[in-house]
Formats: sequence, C-alpha cells, structure tokens
Amino acid sequence: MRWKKNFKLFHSREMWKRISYLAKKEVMYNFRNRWIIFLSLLFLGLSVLVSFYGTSLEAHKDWLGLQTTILYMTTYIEYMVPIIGVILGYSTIVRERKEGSMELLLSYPVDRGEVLAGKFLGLWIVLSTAVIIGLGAGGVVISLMVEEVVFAEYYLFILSSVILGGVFISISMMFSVIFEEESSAMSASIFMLFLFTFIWLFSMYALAELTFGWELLEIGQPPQWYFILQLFNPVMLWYTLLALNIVPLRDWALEFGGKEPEIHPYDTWVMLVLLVIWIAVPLVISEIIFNKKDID
Amino acid sequence: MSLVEISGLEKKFNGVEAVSDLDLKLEKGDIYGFLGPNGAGKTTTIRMMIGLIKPDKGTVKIRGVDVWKEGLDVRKNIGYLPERVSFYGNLTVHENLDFLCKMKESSKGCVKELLKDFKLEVHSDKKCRNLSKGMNQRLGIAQTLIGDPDLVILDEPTAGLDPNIRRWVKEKIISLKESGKTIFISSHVLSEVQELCDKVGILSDGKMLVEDDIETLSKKLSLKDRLELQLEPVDKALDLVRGVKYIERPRLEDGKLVLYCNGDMKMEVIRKFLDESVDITNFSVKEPDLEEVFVRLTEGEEV
Repeated sequence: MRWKKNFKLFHSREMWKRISYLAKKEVMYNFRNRWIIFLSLLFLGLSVLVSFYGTSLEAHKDWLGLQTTILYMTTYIEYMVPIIGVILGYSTIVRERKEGSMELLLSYPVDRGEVLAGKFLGLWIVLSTAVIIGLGAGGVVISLMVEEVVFAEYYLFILSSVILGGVFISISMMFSVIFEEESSAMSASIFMLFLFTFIWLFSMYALAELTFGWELLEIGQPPQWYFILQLFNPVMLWYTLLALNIVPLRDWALEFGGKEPEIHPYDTWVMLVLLVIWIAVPLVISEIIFNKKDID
Repeated sequence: MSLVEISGLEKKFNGVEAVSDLDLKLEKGDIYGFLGPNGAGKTTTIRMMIGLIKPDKGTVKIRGVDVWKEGLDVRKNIGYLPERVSFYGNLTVHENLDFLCKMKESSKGCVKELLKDFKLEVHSDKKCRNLSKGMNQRLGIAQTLIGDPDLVILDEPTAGLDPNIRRWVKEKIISLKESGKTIFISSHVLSEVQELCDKVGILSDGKMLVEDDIETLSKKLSLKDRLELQLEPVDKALDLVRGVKYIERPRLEDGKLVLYCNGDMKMEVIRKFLDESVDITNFSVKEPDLEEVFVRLTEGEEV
C-alpha cells in the first residue's frame, strides 16, 4: 500500500533530513547565481520608488504611507512574484534530467517525493528571502519617512506575496515534471502565467456579459457562482485576501464593486487555506507523475 | 541468495524492445563485465537495476529486495557511475561531495577521505562546471564509494577518456576488486573488460546472447588466433590470403595485415607468404580474446 509507505516515510527523521539537504543545496545553488541579491534589490527599489512617486500617472512626489504603498504595489507584485516563481520553478526538474545530475541524485537513497519537496522548499526559500528582505527593507525606509505606519497590514502583504510565489513555483515545477523538454515546460508555465494574470480577467468579464449582464457586475452584485469561480485563480485569491484586510485596497475595491458583502463573501483564513491548497495540489500531482517517470 | 538477481526483465520504449527477457545473477565478490554494442540495452538494464526505470515485466532483486518497490533501502548499498556523470556545475567539488555524502548519511570525514584517496584535494574548491572530463570522471568514481557500498555499478567508466586517465580508472577498479567489492561494469572496450572481469555477459538487441567466463566462451566458440603481420608488399599479401579456406577476415589495419586462423594453421600462413616471396618484417599472434567472442556473437553465431 503506497499510502502506508508514504505515511511511514512522513514520520521518518531521515526523510526530513534529506529534504533539508536538498533544500539547502537548492538555496546555495541559487544564491551562487546572485538571484537572491538581485531580487531583494528589485523589491526594495520597487517599494521605495512606488512609495515616493506613487503611480506614474500622478504627478506625485512625496512619501506615501505603507497602506497606500501596498495599494499601488499590488499592481506590480501580482505580475512580478508569479514571474519570478515561474522562472525559478519551470526548469528545476527538466534541466537536471537533461544534464544528468538527476540520474545521479536518484541513484542515491532518496525518494522522488523528497526530491520534489526539497526543491520546492529551497526555491521557496530563495523567493521568500528576496521578498522579505526587499519589501521588508523598503517598509523600514518608508516607515522612517511617514507618520502613518500600520505594520500589520504590510506584514500580511509580504506574507501573502510569499505564498503567491509558492503557488507559482509549485505549478511551474509540475510542468517541469510533466514535460521532457525545457522549452515545453517554459511554454506551459508562461501560458499559465498569462492565464491567471491577463486571460482570466477578460474571460471573467466576457462571462459576466454573456450570463448575468455587465450591470450587476458594475454594482458589485454578481451571482455567488461568479465569486466561487474567481477562487480558481490564485492571483484573484491573493488579491481578495489583501482586499479583505488592507483598508485602501478594500476602499478601492468597494469603489469599483459596490456593497462590501458581495465583494468579500469569504474570510481571510479561507483565502489562506485555498492558497495553500494551490501549492499542495500541483506538488501532489508532480509526485504522482514523477514516481511513474523513467529517468532516462 | 545471489547479491543481484534479475529475472525475466523486459522494457520497451515506444513499442521498441530495449531489453527482452533478461536473466542475470551476480554473486558477492564477482566482477561482471556487461558487454554489448551501442544500443544493445546495457544502460537501460543498469537503470532498471538502480530503480531509475520501471521494468515492463520481470524484477531486479538486490539481496532479495525488489529495487523498484523498495529502492530507497537498496540504494544505500549501491555505488553508481552513470555513463554521462553530471554534477551541480555551480557548486564546488567539495560541496558536491558533501551533499552526496549527506544524502547517504555518511560520516563527516567522508569528503576529506575521498578527496585524498582520489587526489582531488587541489581541485576541492573548483566549481564542477570547470572540471576537465578526466577530473569529472575521477569525481564520478569517487562518489560511487560514498557509504562504502557492497555493489559498485560502472556504466562505461572509461568512455571518452585519454589513455592516462583510462589507466588510472582501470587501476582504481582493480583496487576496488581487491577490496572485495562486487563490481558490475558495462563497456564496449573489450580489452579492459577482459583484463578486469571474472565473468561476462554479452547483450545484443536487448537479449543476453551468452554469459560465462572468458576461457569457457573461447572453448565453446572454437575461437581463432589473431595474426598481425608487417609485410612487403602488403597489398600482394592481402590478395594472396583472400579466399583461402582456413583464413578468416583478412584486412589491412594501420598498414598491417590482420587475419584470423586456427592455432595449428599459423605456420601454414607464414609459409604461404615466404613461398610467394613476400617479406615478413614483423608479426605477432594474439590468443582468442573477447573481441573475437563479441564479433562472433553479435554476428549471430550460436553458442
């Protein structure tokens, strides 16, 4: 019974040790590529610039509070974090298989599920470190410049961004397991990225127009199934999580969406759990597929 | 119980048979040469022995444990050198070995010992992507000994190496043999296998053609001696032996005439050249070797 074996392994100390070695190796490998430093500086620069300049559409040149900074930054983070997740994840398995290091690694006493878990954790640590250091340092700079400081919301913003990154690492890793060629894994990952960041939004608008009508959407009273459908997009989940908790984002959403209950029918924990499910499901699918694959 | 027991092993890729109904046994302390032309199914068999490829039929058992089902435990006691060994190019030699030692839960001094034994100390801080092919292979063989495994599987260990490194690899394999390890070598460099192995198995088109020690195989196939002659004029000499009943496969190799004949017909060949005023400046005789066995079998001769 495979589940019994997995259950036994789950409690094995050796398993966790091996996963930690694999994760450490992944972090070390990406640290050598200066990924962490580059990404941290990118997030730091972005948060400080956005706070000082606001959006490019406004002739604004003064420090914004953390809350307002979050409002503007969501536009950038919703693209940047998934893109980084995809870049880290899409090649991690398929490249090692092509180069041959996967053959050597799997000749050692390590389970394929452990390899996936270790790689995922390592890559997630790389992304999280960059986001936490970058956005964290940006937050510190901004808080020194402004009076209005609500750290709790900024912490949630950082945490949710880290989770969003985890989702995209997990999904692109799944493509890395499924496909035999790096280019195919990259294409599938990019399509998935476009699907969740661009195509989804327009498809949902089109669906609204075709079914219950645009008017109901404008006043924020679409049917319940429309909200449920949005939960199948991790970017929408992340956005809803932020809108539930960060005042300027909530106000902005209300401005475009009407009554509060219709916009936020779920609570923070449900959003968090759903995002974690978005991480777990692709990983489980990856494990099932990887276990069946011939390493040739 | 045999250390390795392969029974009824079969694997197809896209409908094409890579390995077919393969049986093989390896006893503790054996040095087994696994021979076959390119594409014979050697690497596929080895990958099934490690648990990297799932067999379509049959099993590979190591110490009685099914490798595909319980590979985790089995691999603790296997050292494996892939045909194209590849390390993490961005990590140093030391870091790669350290990582692999940890994966096998080896002692902390493991890396230092291996670096010393394999004379890799000076390259310890070099990133693996900057290693030469020879150094990479040296590191590859070093990692097979992590955890002091009983069974060492080497897939084409000398392929593409220069003669110095090749000699070094051979010496290392001999020292492994002396330390009592069971070694499984896949190769198409026949002379090396002949020198190193007690027993050989010859694979062609995924099927085991024959499995025995070299001496027995020679007897079974009634193999011929190989004569290499330096003659003047060599073209005339070649014309003379073509079509002669007791002479097989006459050909020119590096300006020398190479041919095969029964041991008791050697002098007859020499006499033939002398009678026809062909000068013999040098000649050598080689006893039947694996190459002969290999050519005979892969050409379809029954044993």
